[in-house]
Amino acid sequence: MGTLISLNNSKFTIYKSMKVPLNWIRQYTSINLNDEELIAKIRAQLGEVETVENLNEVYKNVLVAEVVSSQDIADSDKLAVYQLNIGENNPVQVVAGDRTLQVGDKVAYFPPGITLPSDFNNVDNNNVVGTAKLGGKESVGMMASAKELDLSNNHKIVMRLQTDKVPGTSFADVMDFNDTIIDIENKALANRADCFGVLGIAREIAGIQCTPFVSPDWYLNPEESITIDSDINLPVKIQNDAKSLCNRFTAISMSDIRVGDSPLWLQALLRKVGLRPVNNIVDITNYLMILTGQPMHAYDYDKILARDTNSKDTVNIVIRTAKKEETITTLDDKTVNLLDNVVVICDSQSPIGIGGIMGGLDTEIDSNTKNILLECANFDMYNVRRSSMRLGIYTDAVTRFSKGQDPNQCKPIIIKAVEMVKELATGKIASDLEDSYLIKREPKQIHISLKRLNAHLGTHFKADDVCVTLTNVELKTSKVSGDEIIVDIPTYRGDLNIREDIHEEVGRLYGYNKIQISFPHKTIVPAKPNSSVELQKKVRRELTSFGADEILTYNFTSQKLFKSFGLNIDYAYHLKNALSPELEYMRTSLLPSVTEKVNENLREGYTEMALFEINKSHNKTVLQEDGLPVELQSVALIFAAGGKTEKSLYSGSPYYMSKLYASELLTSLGVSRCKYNTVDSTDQKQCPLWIKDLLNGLDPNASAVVTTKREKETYYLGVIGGLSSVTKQKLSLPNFISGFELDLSVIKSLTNNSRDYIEPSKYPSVTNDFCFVVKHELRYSDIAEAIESIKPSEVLMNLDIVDIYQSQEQAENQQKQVTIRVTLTPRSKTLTSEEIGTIRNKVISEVTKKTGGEIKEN
Amino acid sequence: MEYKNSDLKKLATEIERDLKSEKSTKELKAKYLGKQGLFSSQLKKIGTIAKEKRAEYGKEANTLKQYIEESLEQKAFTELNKISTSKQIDVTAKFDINTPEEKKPKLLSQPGSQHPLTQELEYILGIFTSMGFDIEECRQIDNDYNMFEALNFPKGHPARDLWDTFWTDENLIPPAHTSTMQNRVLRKYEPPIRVVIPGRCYRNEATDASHEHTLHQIEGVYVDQGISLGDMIGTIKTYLEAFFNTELKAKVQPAFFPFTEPDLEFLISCPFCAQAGCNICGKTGWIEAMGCGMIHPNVLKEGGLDPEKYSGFAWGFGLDRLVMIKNGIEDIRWLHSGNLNFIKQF
Repeated sequence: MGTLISLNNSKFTIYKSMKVPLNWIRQYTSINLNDEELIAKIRAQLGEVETVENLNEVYKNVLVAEVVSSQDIADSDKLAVYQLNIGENNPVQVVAGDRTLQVGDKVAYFPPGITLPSDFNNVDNNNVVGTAKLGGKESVGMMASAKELDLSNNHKIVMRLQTDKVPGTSFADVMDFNDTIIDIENKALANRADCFGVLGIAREIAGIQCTPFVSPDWYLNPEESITIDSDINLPVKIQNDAKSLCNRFTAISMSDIRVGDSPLWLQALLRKVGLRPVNNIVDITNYLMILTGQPMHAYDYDKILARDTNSKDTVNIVIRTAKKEETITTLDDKTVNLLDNVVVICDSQSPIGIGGIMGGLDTEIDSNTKNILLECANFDMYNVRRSSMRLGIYTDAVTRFSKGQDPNQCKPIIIKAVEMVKELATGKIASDLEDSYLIKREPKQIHISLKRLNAHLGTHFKADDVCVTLTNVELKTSKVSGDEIIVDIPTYRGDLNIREDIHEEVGRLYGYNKIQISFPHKTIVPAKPNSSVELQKKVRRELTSFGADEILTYNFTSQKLFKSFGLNIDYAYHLKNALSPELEYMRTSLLPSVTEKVNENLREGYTEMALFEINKSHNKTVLQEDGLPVELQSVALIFAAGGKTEKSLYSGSPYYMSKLYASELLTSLGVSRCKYNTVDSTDQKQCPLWIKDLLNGLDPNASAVVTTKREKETYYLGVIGGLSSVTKQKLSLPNFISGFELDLSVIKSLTNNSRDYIEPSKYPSVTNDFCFVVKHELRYSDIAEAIESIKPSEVLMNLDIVDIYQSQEQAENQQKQVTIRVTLTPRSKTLTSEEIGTIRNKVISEVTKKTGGEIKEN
Repeated sequence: MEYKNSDLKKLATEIERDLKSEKSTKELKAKYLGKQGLFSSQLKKIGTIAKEKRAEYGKEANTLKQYIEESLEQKAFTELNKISTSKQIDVTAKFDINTPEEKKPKLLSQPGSQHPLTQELEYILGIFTSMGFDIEECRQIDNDYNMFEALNFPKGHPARDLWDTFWTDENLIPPAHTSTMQNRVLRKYEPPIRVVIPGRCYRNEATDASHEHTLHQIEGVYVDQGISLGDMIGTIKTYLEAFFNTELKAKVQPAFFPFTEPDLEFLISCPFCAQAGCNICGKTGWIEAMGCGMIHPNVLKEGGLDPEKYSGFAWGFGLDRLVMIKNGIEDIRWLHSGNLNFIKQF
């Protein structure tokens, strides 16, 4: 499992990229292109190459040195002085805090002037090696610890090099660091479990070079059985109680282990892919994971036996899901509270590892480990991913298991691991290979049709081209007829399931650049105009021509904004993974978000502004049949004026500015004859929820619900209002501010096929002004309705309000005077002065009768 | 909320009635939350509750308390609103009483600006309309089925991690891509299907100069009999040449999307430097224009179309970056800033 310490400490994401050293690839397939050509080809046919790295720069000046003589420094209890052969005529003298070096030992030597590899990319702390006096002796340069070489955390002693290379050789040569390491973004490979291993990438690189790939024999044809060769018997029993979540579990124990550093080639490979060497056992499991994509884990056999009081001489491994309130301390020394459905690997009592995620600390391999238990298992990809997310633990093992590894590869890989442990850690096989394999994954066959493939891709590939291309990546093909080809799918290619998957493989490996550009055969059908999109365009055009500026704001808002407008937050969808409290709720109307943008612009010096937004909002209590919220498509506008501009240009309630914008917009959209209802006179049952809710943030004495009637049906268009004093105070808004929000779907439904239009008349119009003294609370619309009610035949009346005035005296009497201009437009003939007089008298009598007011004659 | 404890249930009914009454917030606050208040007294009775029911009682009492507090706050807001405002104005008039002629409401004299994103959107939709594509607007809240399942992402599939989605408490999703409309489009239209889907998308990532949680995409769907990958390349190239008003070279490279097969990245020769190498194309001469691919047979099936008979392609591209590149906007955060210094330049 994840016995891994990543060199990169930045936040781990599941889709990080993967480093692939090209020299490692060359062990499995030849590369006949230069690096640049190869990288271009990988980009075009496999996946994005993010970075290209070569460690030679970091290590080229580090030299192999051989100890020629050593002498402890008498007046120090730690230091020793050494003469080193660095391949030059004269040896160099180096003082070190390690007295254990022997004559003939080879070490890595830093000549003066070079930067430590461990600091190579560290801009702030760039340690340069120098010449110094230590313990009274001159020390020229220094000998490297593994930590200073950026290989492991070992800083106690000078690192010994097991190498045949002569003194003076560059350390980079010893480690084969002059190697191009490409970093492949594995986003494009998210469904390719096999490409999370070097073998898989090597197979693809062979494929795109059109050369055949052959997997190593140990991978394809593992030995059938394994022979115990240890004198000690270390029995293992497996009991799988989580069958649906762990399809296969293989394990074997080994004795006579000598834990130590891995050979340099192995340390070098791990360093190249960004892992730290730990010890030979752990390094072997990591090496095989990087090579094949299959994570492994190694336990200390004796530690398992010691902790399990139920078991005497057999390790009893139980695979099960975690119990309530169970915990484990993982390798990174963190205590994890396990959750239900998380698979744990246990002894007969408690967990020793989290399946597919990370091993436990108390059974870890250390320098005293003598006997080990190796595990190579297959866990359910969905459960590994879910468990990892729930526990918040992300490891390289999780990355690989969550892509769905092939259970068939467990056996060859554990056998390979055994072989490597024998070779690199003197281990002997001390048990049978225990294998609990529940449902065997069988190879599949996919039938493809050449004709269909070419029709799908728009290509003219021949059967032979297709077969060779597929065979190169070990997808065996057999031609059935001229058209049909059967493709054998190895079990590690879980991504290939349907014929279209094969089409893609052929297109990609043979080269998409061979595809002929073509065009669909089109029947001539004009696109249907989208009335909603058209309406939005029109609203934008009109409002910008009225001097308003279009802005866009977020759907996500804060609880604070809801409270500032007195809106009901229970209507709002709440995000459970919001980025911040400012972005926690989905808005239920647009006006508040637009209002929020006023202050910044006032500060920028815009003393009067009209801002509008067209967008959607949602109320979680207003749902469609499918359970999704109805989407309110609306336009919201805010008008604000501040400072001197307000005083010099505006007077009275700010409501009238927004009303002007709304009525001009509605008229130009073809919706006239709108009614502006006070809040009190609004039908609470009929009025849509969003309007009622938004009224909370508006001044109840200076807001109106806009409606219109069509064939006795009342349509609620929206709401206009000055912002309430509470809202203004809470958001520190200027005093002169108002806004509107109108429902565009209602407007769309009214203007779909028609608009309000009146044929212009051929006869001259006549205008008449009337000034009525009326009660203060009387509305202009009351007078207008009285006038309109006279409906003179064959004459159209058009009303406009000229002035509303209140003298001191009228104020005391609760009166005001309203001047109205009536334009009379005859339809069939020119009006005589007599007819005009009759209408005028009718107007006066009707208004005085209905409103109790009186006409004021000049 | 249904209270199991009968006393709390009674109390909840009473407060409900009181909230609708004419009683003032102050009065109600004293009645319920004061030291001798009904709720406070009720709370003291916890000692009389059976031990095993105490936890549940405590939980319910807490919920009720929160409810009372929030309702009273809301009521106070409404009250304050009523007292602190002026007299009723005539909402049917065009201006207030005694407004001098020069101060009567007039529209602003300088024309306003349209947001650069919607300008570009209208331009792009115009091109697609001329190519015979219908327009379908994208939803802003959708469900798991449309966002993932209908697009061949099984439940729990790791590919879902590629889309950093937001989730509401109800497990609905502000969609992370316009593909969330694909299934609806496949079901609504009859082949030949030619539809573009503009929409707002949401990604759960922190905002900085080049990252935004709110962005805009345009999706395209084309389904008919005998549609090939070559047709896709031809169609997308034609659109891009119309958009940039110049001839372009096009190429595709592999990508991964569960809902297409093959899945591709569409690249064009850089229209800004004619492949001489500039900052926009990162000196490569190529620009990644969009993700695209042949619609996966499972997606067609789920959309009610027979994959034996029909095939098609789909694409999706971001609008925001395009607008930034075209106008030289360096910081993506301007787009949703509402700042007039920014907007007025367009």
